[in-house]
Amino acid sequence: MRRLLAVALVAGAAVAAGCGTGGQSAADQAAPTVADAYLCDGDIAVMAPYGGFGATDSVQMNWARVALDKFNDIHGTAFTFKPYNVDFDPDAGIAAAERIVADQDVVAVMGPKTSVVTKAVGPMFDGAGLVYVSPSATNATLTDGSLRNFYRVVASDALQGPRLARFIAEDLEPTKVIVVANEGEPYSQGLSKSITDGLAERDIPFEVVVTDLNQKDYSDVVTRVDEQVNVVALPLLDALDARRLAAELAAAGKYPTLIGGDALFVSAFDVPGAFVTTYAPDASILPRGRDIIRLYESIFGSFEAYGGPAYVAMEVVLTAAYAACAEDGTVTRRGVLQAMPDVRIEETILGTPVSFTPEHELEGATVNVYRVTTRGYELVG
Amino acid sequence: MTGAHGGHAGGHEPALHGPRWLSITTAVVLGVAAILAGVTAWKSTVMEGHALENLTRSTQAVNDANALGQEAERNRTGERDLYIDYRVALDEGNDERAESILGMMTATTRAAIDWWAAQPEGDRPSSPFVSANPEWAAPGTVIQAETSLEAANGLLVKAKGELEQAHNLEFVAALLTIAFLAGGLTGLFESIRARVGFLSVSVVTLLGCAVATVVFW
Repeated sequence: MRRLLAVALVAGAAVAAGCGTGGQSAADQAAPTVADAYLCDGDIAVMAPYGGFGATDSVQMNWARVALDKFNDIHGTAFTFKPYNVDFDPDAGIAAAERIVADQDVVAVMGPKTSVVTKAVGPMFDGAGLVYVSPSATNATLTDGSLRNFYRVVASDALQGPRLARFIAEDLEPTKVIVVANEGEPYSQGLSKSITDGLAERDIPFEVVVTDLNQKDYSDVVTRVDEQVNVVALPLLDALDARRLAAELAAAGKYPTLIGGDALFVSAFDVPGAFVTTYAPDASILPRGRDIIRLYESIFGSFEAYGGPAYVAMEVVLTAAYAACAEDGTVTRRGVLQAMPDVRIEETILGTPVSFTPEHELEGATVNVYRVTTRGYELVG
Repeated sequence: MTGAHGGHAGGHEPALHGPRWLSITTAVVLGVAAILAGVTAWKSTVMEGHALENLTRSTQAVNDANALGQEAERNRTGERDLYIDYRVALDEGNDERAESILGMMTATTRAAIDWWAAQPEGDRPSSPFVSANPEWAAPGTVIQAETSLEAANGLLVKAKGELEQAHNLEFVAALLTIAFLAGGLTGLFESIRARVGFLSVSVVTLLGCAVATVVFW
């Protein structure tokens, strides 16, 4: 009970301290602080891609970094992070996980980015008693109980797929749908299945075309987009693949409506008129979100909306670590693990609260559909 | 003027106009109004003092934020320029110049470069100054500047609130003059009804001001 209270109060303090432009609110003043907060330390392993040129490269790392530095600044804590350059390669994930597990300074993990890596490294983290919070691994089976310490701050594909299917059915007047999925990739396969199940329920004709990750030539897909096809669904993992396919379709004079999953909610998929889903409303609609976006831009230049959940995931991990520190006077893997189920953040930069279901899913998760425009994203459903 | 004559049984002293309770009530009302006026004026002055203090602190915080922001920007530009020079010197094989440039860098910049250099080639970012580098201090400095600016804004909002509060209390003090005027006029009339009427105005004004003082406190 004490821990529950501590976590709730810590989260409240985090929200109050991060809110708006004002000085200390009443809630802020009333929130307890950890005596000698600077003694609250420990490394958070951040498993996200950096240093490359992928569509989402460094974005999550940037957001996680802003979250960490902001949290330390507000609370006077001394948490640090260790970066692990892992995108969607399970072998790289396993190699990084071995180092993370062996490093006793690491008290929790922010990541992995992808479902395939999460499946590969999850049992290792579970065995080491490490909490791992993903900002983007959405495969529905990740929370079926097989990964004990896995949490995510985004909606499961169990919500995303049906939402995509419903949007296609109700808003795009489909005659026939081509669903393009990546071969053997859990995120893409799971989302693809979920979409096709939804289309089948509604008796909408569809065809699934399987492609390789980072495939260079999509002529086989372009050929199948005939006069009957007016919607192409793209549950693809890499936005650059989707952009390449869109360019090849346009080059062939074919302009079906394109709709993709959350992995395409990045500036690299700059195809005006296409639709993409994401797990949260636009961060810029709230004062706190706008403040953080301004902060992000002043450090990293251009704003990339995709990484917003990485800020929230890091905030969740740090809130649990801070609660563990408040409870035990020190931060340990075990303390963070025990504090996690009770983490509650009333208002995040995404405008949605954070708490977790017993299955470690985000409570009240929603999926929004946006239209890509030349000026950015427009919320359509 | 007519009116009931109070006074002592001897009846030679100047008689008080009207019943004694009326005079006493008038005196009490005027006394309370005077105390309330003094208290509101004092509180108003205190609030103005606080507002001034917070305005000063806000200005100081803005200055701090600007200084931190400029420092962050200067550091970021400087560390990049020095790093480029350092790389050029290394690529040219001019170790002496590279060493000299390294000496010009701050300890944090050197630490950022050391971290970067220690990364395995496959994981090494194109620059040491990226979010993945835990030694890169620029984000923290920018965030400190931002926090300072937020604090300045908070103090400014607080100061504005306090000034508004002070002005409201000054207005209450001004309204209390009505209570004084009405209370003072009661003595000029022999008509009980007129005196009670002025006294009522005074009491109502006093009560209103008392409530306003509580609200604006």
